[in-house]
Amino acid sequence: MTTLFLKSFILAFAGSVAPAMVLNIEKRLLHWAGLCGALGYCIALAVNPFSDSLSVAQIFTGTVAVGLYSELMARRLKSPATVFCIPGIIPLVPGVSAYQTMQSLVANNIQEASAYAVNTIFKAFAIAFGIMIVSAVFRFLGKIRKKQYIR
Amino acid sequence: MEQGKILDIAIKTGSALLRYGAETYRVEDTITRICGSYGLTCEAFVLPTGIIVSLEGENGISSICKRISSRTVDLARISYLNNLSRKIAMEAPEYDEVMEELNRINELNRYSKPAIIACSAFTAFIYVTLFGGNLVEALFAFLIGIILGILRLIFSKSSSFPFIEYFAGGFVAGILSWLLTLAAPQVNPYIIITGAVVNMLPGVALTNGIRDLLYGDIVSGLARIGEALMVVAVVAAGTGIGLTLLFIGGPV
Repeated sequence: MTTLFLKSFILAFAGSVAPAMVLNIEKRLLHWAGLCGALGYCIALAVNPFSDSLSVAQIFTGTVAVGLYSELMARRLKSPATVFCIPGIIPLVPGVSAYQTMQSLVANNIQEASAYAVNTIFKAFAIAFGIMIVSAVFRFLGKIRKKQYIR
Repeated sequence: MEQGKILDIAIKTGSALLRYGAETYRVEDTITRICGSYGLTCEAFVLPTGIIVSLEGENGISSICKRISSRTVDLARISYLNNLSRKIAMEAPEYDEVMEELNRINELNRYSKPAIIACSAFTAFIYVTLFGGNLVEALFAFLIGIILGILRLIFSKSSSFPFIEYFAGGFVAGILSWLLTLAAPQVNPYIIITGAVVNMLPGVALTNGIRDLLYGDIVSGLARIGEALMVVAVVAAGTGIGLTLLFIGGPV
């Protein structure tokens, strides 16, 4: 169990840092973005460590963690939240369901392909809504406190 | 400061933000705040493909329209531009000072080309492992990742048709992974493809699109989601066509 989490943590960390460098992140924020992805992925995994691929609920929980981390770090490190949450959600991207979709499409198995495609789209929307809910809460709190700066 | 110069600062900062992948509400907010910090009221209308700003001052109403033809994601520049706009909103600095800072941000270096290619290959390697592939599959994905990284750099320079880069990437990933399975029959080509195209998936466009919808920018939100879906479709079509071309002689 510990090795599973350790392995996932390291993979997700590297899996956020490498794409973040392609997206030209500042060097001082590189490890913070990596931590964001590793945290989100490990929390998603902690919901159900025995599943082969992440379910919608797991992805949603992971994304909410990513969103919270990004909003808090944005205030601490004086950088927009997007800088952390874009690399952070990459490990949660529904890659496995995407490749199952592709596999069934090429095998001309349209019924199976459409089931996998719906699953993939649902997971992608779970990511987007997870980020959205957190940023909506923070925006609401920000409006209450009437902060004058742009986040 | 003259009204024209204020408008110039606002549109240059706003269009730079939009070009480097900021959300619509952030661009509108930035433009409004910049004009507000110089004591003028303005109205900004931002779409993913262009900006319209109209400013009301003592010289009457002036407005400007700026077309944005290409959008990339550049997290460092978004961060610097955000700090700059915060500085403008607080201190209202002189025109030359702002222009100097904007030029400095525009001329910032990206990571070196070999580093970007290595990162793209490394991403493919990691995601194949994360999706449950073995070491051989991960190494194959690494090779394809290098080629995709080079392809992206070539196409990003000459982008006459914005989606060609994604189509070519998917096509190459599809054909190469299948050719590699001929060399080593026990590997699964689909897991290699999925790992290799993670770099091209439009996660940013999709989340930004849904954020825009949330903040009430319906038009930009739908446009960005449309762009994201188009990218997915193009990548999938590329891989699908690449794979089915190899199936022409019957199933392998």
